[in-house]
Order: sequence, then C-alpha cells, then structure tokens
Amino acid sequence: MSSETVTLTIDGQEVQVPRGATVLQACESIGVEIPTLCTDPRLKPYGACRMCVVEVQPGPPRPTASCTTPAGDGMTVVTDSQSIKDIRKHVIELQLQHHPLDCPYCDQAGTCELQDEVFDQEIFQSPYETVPKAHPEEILNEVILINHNRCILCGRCVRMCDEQIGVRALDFVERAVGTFIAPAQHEFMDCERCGMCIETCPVGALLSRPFKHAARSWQTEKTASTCPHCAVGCSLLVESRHGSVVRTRSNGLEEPDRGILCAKGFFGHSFVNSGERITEPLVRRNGALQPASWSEALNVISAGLREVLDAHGPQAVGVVGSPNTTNEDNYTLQRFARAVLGTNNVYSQSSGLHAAARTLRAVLGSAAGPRSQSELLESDVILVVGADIGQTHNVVGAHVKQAARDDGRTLLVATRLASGLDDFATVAARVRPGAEAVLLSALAGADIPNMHALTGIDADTLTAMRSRVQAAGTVAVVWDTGVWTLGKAEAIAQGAANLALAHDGVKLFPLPERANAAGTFLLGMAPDLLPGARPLSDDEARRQASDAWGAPVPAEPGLAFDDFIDGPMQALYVMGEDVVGGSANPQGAQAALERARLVVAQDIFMNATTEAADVVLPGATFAEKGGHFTNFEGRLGRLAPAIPPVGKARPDWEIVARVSAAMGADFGWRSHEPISTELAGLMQRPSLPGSRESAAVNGAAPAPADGFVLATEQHLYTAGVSGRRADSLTLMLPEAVAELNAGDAQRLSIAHGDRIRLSADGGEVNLKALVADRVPPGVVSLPDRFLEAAPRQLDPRAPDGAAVRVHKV
Amino acid sequence: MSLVVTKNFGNPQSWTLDSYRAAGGYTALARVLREMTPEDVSDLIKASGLSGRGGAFFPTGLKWEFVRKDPKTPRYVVVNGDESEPGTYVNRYSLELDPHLMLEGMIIAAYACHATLGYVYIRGEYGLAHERTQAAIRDAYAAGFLGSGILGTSGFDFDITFRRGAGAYIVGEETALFNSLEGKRGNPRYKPPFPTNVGVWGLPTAINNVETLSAVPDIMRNGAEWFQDLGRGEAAGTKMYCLSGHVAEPGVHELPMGVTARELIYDYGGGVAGGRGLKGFKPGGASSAPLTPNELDAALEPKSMGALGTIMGTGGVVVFDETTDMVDVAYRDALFFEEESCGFCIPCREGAPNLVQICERILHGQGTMDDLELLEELGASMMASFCGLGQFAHQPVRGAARRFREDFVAHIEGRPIPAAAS
Repeated sequence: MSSETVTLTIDGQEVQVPRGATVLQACESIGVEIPTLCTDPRLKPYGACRMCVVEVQPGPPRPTASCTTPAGDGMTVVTDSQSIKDIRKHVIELQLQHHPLDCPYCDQAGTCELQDEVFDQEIFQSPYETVPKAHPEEILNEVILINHNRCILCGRCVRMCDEQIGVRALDFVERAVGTFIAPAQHEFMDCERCGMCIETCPVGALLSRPFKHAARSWQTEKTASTCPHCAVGCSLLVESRHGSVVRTRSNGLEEPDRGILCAKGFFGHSFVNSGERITEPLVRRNGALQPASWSEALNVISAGLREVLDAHGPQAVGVVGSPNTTNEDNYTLQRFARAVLGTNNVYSQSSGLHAAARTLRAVLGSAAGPRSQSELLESDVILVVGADIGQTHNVVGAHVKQAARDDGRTLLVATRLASGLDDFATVAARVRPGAEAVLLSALAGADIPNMHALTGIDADTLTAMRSRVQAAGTVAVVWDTGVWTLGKAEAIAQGAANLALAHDGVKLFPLPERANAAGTFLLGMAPDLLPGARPLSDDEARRQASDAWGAPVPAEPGLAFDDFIDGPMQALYVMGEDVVGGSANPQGAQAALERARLVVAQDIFMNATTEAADVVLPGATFAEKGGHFTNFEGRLGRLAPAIPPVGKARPDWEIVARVSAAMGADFGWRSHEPISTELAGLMQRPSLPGSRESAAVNGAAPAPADGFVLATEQHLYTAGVSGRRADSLTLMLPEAVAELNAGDAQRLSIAHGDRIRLSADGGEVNLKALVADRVPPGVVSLPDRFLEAAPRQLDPRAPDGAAVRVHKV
Repeated sequence: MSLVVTKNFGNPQSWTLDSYRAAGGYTALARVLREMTPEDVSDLIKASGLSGRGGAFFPTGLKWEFVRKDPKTPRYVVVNGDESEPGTYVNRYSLELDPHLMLEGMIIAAYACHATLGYVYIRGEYGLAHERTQAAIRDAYAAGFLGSGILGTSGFDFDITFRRGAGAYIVGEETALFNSLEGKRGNPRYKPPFPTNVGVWGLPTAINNVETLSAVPDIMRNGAEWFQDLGRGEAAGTKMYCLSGHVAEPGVHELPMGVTARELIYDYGGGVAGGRGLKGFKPGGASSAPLTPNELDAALEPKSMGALGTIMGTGGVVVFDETTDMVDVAYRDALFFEEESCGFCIPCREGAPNLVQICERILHGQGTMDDLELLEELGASMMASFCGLGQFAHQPVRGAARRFREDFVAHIEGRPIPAAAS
C-alpha cells in the first residue's frame, strides 16, 4: 500500500487516487458524474448543497457528501442507489419551493446549474407547496446586483470573495430559511468589483448590471482570448453578439489567472464598441483631418515616406510600437522599419519596464528574467515594494494573498499606500514615495544613515523585514514598473539587483504596467535591440534578422526617442501610442510632430498624437484581431478575433503590412499566424553575463515638513485610454481624484468630494479630493492613467515623490 | 448510590472555592499531578467507560489520547456549556452549583491532553452560570490551579478564556462552537477532520461537555471500576437526567446510567402531574423521537434507546400526559428546528419549514394520508443534512407520526384525538 495513493471502489470499479483527494474527485477521475451545486473547482470543499451525497462504507450510516469526504483506502462507494437518487431529487424539489421559475427573463438561463439539475433529476412537479420569495432586486454597487429570490445560498460568492480574492465583501445574514447574502461590512458592497461573485453564482442571483438583459447566454459567440488591460494577461472568454462584445468572463483555471479576473477583466470591455472609436482612415486636408478611403491614406503614407527617405535618408524616419498591441503588430512594424525603411529608430513607450529590464540585465545578466508566477508564489518570502500590486496587478495580488494565507508564505509589504495585502502580511510598512530603491538597498544590507527619515520605516520594522529576507531560502521581490517609476525605474531595479546580489535566493519580478510591455522589450522594440531583446551590436543576431527579412538590418543603432524627434525626424509612424500625451515634454513633442513632413498615427481612439498626425488609421482592439501578448512572466497569451473590426478598422499588423506593400515590400501575410511563426524563429534569448556589481542608489530627500509628497500609482479602476472608455470602469471611478488622509484633510478643512488644487514646481492641477484611509499622513495620492489631470502636469519627469502643495479651491 | 457530579449541590455556598475545597475539591488534581502521567490519566478514563454526556457518547479517554498524540501545538480543551436542547438543563445546574468540579475535570483533561489553552463556552442565556463560572475561574487562578506551573509543578501550564454564547442552538454542535469562538458565523464544519486534530483555530482540541468533565475528579479518586460499576448493565457511571413536561416533580436527578424511564418518571418524578395517565415521553430532548408507555421499561442509555429508533440524547426526559395532542408536540418541535437551522445546507434549511407545514396542515384538518408518506420521504432526505441538527430535526416528527399515528390519522379524518392507552 503506497502512502501516496489510496485505492477505493466506486460503483464496483476500483480506482486509485492521490491521498487527500475527496471521494468526489475520485468519482470524477473515472468519469462517474456526481451532481453538485455548491462546488467550484476554485473553492475549498463546502458541503452545503448535499447533491453530491453517496453511500460510503466504512462510513456513517447515512448519505455522505462526497465533496467533503476524503477518499480512504478500501472504501466502497455507491453513487447511484435508488435512495441516493431520491435524495438528490428531493433536495432540488425542496430548493425549488423558494426559487422563482422566471427563467425566461433570467440572465443565467441556459448556464444555470439549478435549471440543469431540475432537468437531470426529471422534476416536473414538486410535492411541496411553492412559497416564492418576492424581494426586490437589490443594487449592491455600480456593477453588481443581487436577486435574493433566486439565491440558493450555496455560498460560492461569499467563499469566492474570501478564499480567492481576499476581500470578504459578502456574507450570510440571518439564519435558517431567512438566511440571505448581503454586503459584509457596509450598506453597499464596497469591494474590488472583480465580478467573481457573479462568475461563480450557479443561478441568476448575483448579476452583472452592465450585462443585465443584454443577451441570452446561448445567443452569444464565445471566443477564448486574453485580457488587454494589464500585464498579468488573464484568460478571457469574450462573448459577443451582432458584432458587439456583450461580456467577458474568466476562462479556465490555468496560469496566470487561475480562474479569476479583476474589475478591468470582467467589466472593462465596453471600450471595444465605444462610439468614440476611430472607424475610418483620416487624412489631413487643408489643415483638418478628414475621412478618406484606405487607398488614399495608403497612397499619402507611401508617397510621404518615399519622399522623406529620398530626401533625408532612413535616419529621418522612425516608428513607435505599443505595449497595447500584439507581438505580431509590433513585430510587423519593426520589420517594416528595419528591413523596408532601413532605420533602427524603433521605439516603444512602456513606462518603467524597459528601464527596469535593461538595468537588471546589465547587472544580473540575461538570466534576470522574466520568471513564472509559480516561482513567485512558491518563494518562502514574498516582498512587495512600492505600488500596491492589488491595484496595479490585481489578480497577482489576489494570488499573493492566498499564498500568504493558505500556503504559509511570508508576505512582507513595503508599499506607499495601505492596501488589502497588509491584512495578509507578516510585516507591513509604508515606504515614503521616492525611497523605494533605498529601502531595497537597505534590505540588501547597505548601511544607510538616516534610514527612518528617508524611508519612513522605523528601525524595528526594517530589522524585522531584513531578518525574514535573510533567513529565507527564496525571496520574490515584486514591484510594479508603472508610470510612478518615471525617473527612478533604474534606481529601483538597481536596488532590487543589489538585493539579488546579496542573497542567492532572491528572484526579481518587475511587473510591466501594460498588457504587452514585456513583449515589446523581448521583441526588441528599441533602437539598439533586435527580436529576442538581443543587442543590435550582435552580428549573429543581425545576420539572422537580415536573412529572415530578406534585407540587411543596418548596424548603426537608432537615436534615443527624444534625440530623434528633436533632431533628424522628418517622418514618424506611431502605432497605438500617444507619444505627445505620454511625453515628458508634451509641448515640445507636439511641436516636433508638427514640424515633421509626415506623421502617421494608427490607433483606436483619438489622442494628442493622432490630433497632430497627417494620417490617422483605424486600428483594431484586442477583441477584433488575432495574435499574442507576452505577460509579466514572458508567457504568451493568445488573442482571437471575437468580432469583426468596427467600421473600416483593421488589425494593426495588417495596416502596417499594407503600408509596406504599398511601398513595394509585400510580406505576403493574410493572417497573423505566419507572423507568429516567423517571429518565434527569431526570439532566441541572448546569453549576457551582467556586471554582477552592486551600486549605491539615491533616495529622495524627505519632504518639507509643511508640504505633501506625491504618490502616483495606478488605481484598480483606471486602465489608460481603453479603460477610460469602458463605461463600467468609469462608473466605478468617474473622474480623476486626489486622495489624502483624514487627518491631513481635516487640518486643511477639506471634505470628501471638495475640489482641491495641487501645485508643484512643474505646474498645477485642480481636481476632486477623496478622503481615503489608505493614504498615510503627509502623502497625497494622485492615481495615474486617467485621461485628465495627469500627474505629469505637476512634474513631467518624475512626478512620484515630488513635493506638492495642497489647497482647497 | 454514589453521586458523582451532583454530590456537592446541597453544600452551603457550593459554588465557591472554599466550599468546594472543604468537600475535598482539587485533591484529585493534586494527586494526578503527583502520581500520574498523562497516559495514565487517559488510560484510566478509557477503562472507566466515561463517554460524552452531551449526547454523542464518544469515549472520553480515547478523545484525549487522540489530542495528545497530535503533534500540533498549542492544544486546547474546550468546555461545551452551550446547553440549548429543549427540555435539558443539567449543565446549568452544574455551572451554577458546582463550577469548580467542572474546572478540576477540565484541568485534569488538559494535563492528559498536553493542552495549554482552554475555553469555557457557556450558553448566552445562562446569566448566573456565567457569573459563578467566571468567579470560579478567577479563584482557581488565585489558588494556583490555573496559570503557569500549576500547583508548583514545572511545565504544566493551562490558561482558560471564558466565552458566552450569542443565542444559537446550533452552536452546541462542537464545530459550530469553534467557529463561534473564532468570531465567525456559528455554522458547523465538516468532519473529518475531527476536532481532536483540527479543532479551534485549526489545532488539536478536546471538546467535552460540562457533565463529562465533572465526572473526572471522582474517577481519578475512586478508579475506573468504581465508575464503571455505577452504571446499570454495560452502561458506565451515572447520568444527570432532567424531567420536565407533565410530570409531578420536574427536576434533575443523578442516577445510574441505564435507569428506566418508569423509575425516573414515577419513582423520582412523582408520576404524571395531576395523577393523569401517560400518553408518551421523550427520552432525550427535543430531537429525540417520543416513546409510548409500552416503552417505559427501556433503559435510558444510548444502546437501548438506539434499538427503539430514538436517541438517549441529553437525558432531558419530557413527559406528556393523556390529554396531549402528539401532532401538536411534533409541530412545536418542528417550529423549533425551523427556527434554529443555521441555514447552511439545503435539506435542513428547506426541509425543516416543510416539517412545520405538514404538521400545520394536519393540525388544521387539511392533511391527507399522503402527508404521512411525504413526512417519511422528507425525513429520508433530511438524513443527508450537513450536521446532526438536520439529521435529527425530522426524528421527533417522524417518530411521533409512527408511534402516535392514531393522533395524526384522527386529525386527518376529522375525529377527536384518542386518549392515552395507559
């Protein structure tokens, strides 16, 4: 008898399962179907619905729930006796007494587990008196409502929110037959709006307000895809009807999401069908952008590019790719630039990820990463530094909570704002914005004077963190590399590298902000890199690319972006990026674009760059094209078209390929698949040693006593351009806000909702103030990635950590 | 006969430490610490046949051995004083009149289990019991029976936290009690894992009834055989029975385990109130199926009660005189379980209200013979309930409908209910 497995007999069939498996799992392993209602593979066994009862010998002298009974050696299980069948039927009959048969207008109809059971148990008439409940539907928050009448009290929503999300926003209230589900802590459901309570609800009790009565579940087309909103890269099931995306859901239990989504994944899709989409090519005529045919636009572009190339040479041309678009899109643009236009002026804006990745590679070599989420979650210590990853990378944050609670990992949190992670942490501290790199260096053992004043973390807490890091076999260091790391991404990465050099078990996890930022780096969307992020200076890499592309790749690296637009730029081709709005010097960038002979901007919404362009081309969203994103782990997430592109929009790779063809270089692609294959062939990773040298990092000086220090990290409900065009997300956070601590607000006589002015050396912004517990004293938080009130208006180069003044307006 | 758990009830100020010590209290603990190993203690308890007086009758010594053998620490001893079964009030007497006896037993249990922490959890409505038990805990600390280095030993530390319930019958179920202790909703947990391995806060826990622990000191003093012999036949020890309902003298009686209902009702309870005839009786609280006068000579102990299709339960014997409408009794029981279901699982939550509805229909002359069949089906389904509450909630109704079928049929057929047989 092996201690690893147990052998039992189910309906006369012998089966071997791992020790610890439940009887239900044993049944499923041999295809014996057991009905369940309260079971969800994401959740722990519960045993409330009693549909999965079986007879077990040896065991209690009554039907036993298979979901909560461990499979035992020598056990005999009967799953289909008449009495078991009778019980299952009876259980459904009992539940149906209170369940309205309003299936014709219930959103869950067709995917309702109770409906399926009524059918499977062949229930046509109940022996019990029907006592329908008649509670009105209750709105729980902006996006979630509950129909108590349909609720079967299986507790899946309550457990999902607790076990998987770590929020505990729902609970049972009252008892017996009067039990109902309600917000756990407030009058309304103050949660993370991830929608996973809706996702797991087996009936139509918890409902999505945006999806309500939008379609019958069987009328939608279902397409497996990948979420476009951040670099976790969760799997999505995109449901569409009549060319519109009507909802997105979680799809499968695999990495990286393990079956959960965040607010952006579940509710953030409606930008796809936004009325503000660019739906046709626009060409500037008499100073104004006007609708044009594809052939006219392509002619203008090819003629313009040809003219610039002839007059100024390829150094005058540059292309900008995007972490919002796929690997195939970016690769096509890169090939077009290097092999057709003959320029290495290839760019991709990606906030701090490229900077962090370059620094880590320079110090630690090419082995620095990216690494898998499993490595992260299986580390003995998980250290989260800087931004609250529960906001920036919500699903990873949820998994980290679980790892701390269920798997015994030690969670150390050194974020600038309080967060849901704190509750799961062994040590939680607030690091002062600007001191993140110093803190990492200090944890690496650097002796830094004046630590407390610099970081805001007292000596005991720091010692507690340091001792846990030092004692651990493996340590995952996790930080978001979003816009808040502008101006300090290298320093933070160096601090993290210092820690990795000091401790062999340290693994680094810089989290890219946008869906495909890691992809743009690995693809080499930079003046000095090639696919695989191999250096352009690598002759072999250049030769391979030249061979693949049938044209020589120039050996001379391109210019830095700012040097390029302020220098030789005569033509710029921008795909899915706002180089003006995202610039440290927007006025300068806009002037540069206006000076250029030709600016082509291909995007899904108008922005400062498209406004300054000569030709605007309608790109496609994630839901309208195939391809791949590369997530924070380096894992490929597959996109598949769920709907045809709106209007005359086309997949971005196709647009670039058509421009190339118009210039006489037809790549011959009719779908994204050959691109995926071609680029995969060039993605050999370089083997670079790294300097292995620790370096001192600077910390910002402490803020003046009377002022505030600015924290600018992404809010869970903001997701840049796309997110701000998703109605459900804007409902959750309608406008740009500044958050400050209750004590500070009181001192300045600022009430929740008041208008305030933030001013700094670089400028000022007016916006709404929210009094928020999560903000520590002396800090004002200005969440990034709204369309308005960008933190960069306060300090274009390094807004985070800047000294600001707060005034009531 | 020897009294074990009620022996001090008549002493003046019996609930005080002074009174308890004057009656020889805490000498058993002293002797255990001086002379016995934890293994000796649990072996002795095993040999005595002491089993859980809360109604499940699990062997107490075995439970302690399981807890001791689990390597996880800290280990807990929890006193289940959430006595809420209708017709049952034996723990209340013990806690009001002799809390130190329970505490001494609890401390010995902790020693046997290698437990260092304990909870005393008492039903919320038991005001005087809270007061006296809390005072007893305070005094026991002051006297060195609790805390660090108990009675000057090195290495035997035991600390107790007192908790009061918040008014839910279900929390008398041991795992629901753990949830309540942890500040959670008082729903039961599934077993296995059993409390001996995964109890309060997920740690090994010996959870014992007040009466069980109260028997421990005298077993330590007088030995296993002495206790074993106190019971009738195979049953060991004594049991606190309590009488209520239509009985001449309601009250608590400590009698040999296995005494007959006839003896209890007629010899100790003075018979049926007002000299009326007996219609039936419940042997062990609301959740036990009622028995008829023909079954008066059955022994009130788990095996014989089980053989009759009912349960020994808590020993709360409820007497019904000849004027009683047994449908009404069943109806009231059903109402209780409908109210007290925690709402966790479908068969209990949705089944209990149907017990009520069926009884209501029959009581109001709207029942049919099909309802009696439905009652059987419903009961069979409620056996699939998550915990004992739902598994037993239908027993009193179904039991009444079987043994007092005439009452049910009379209602259904619109006839007056028959008088008692005896």
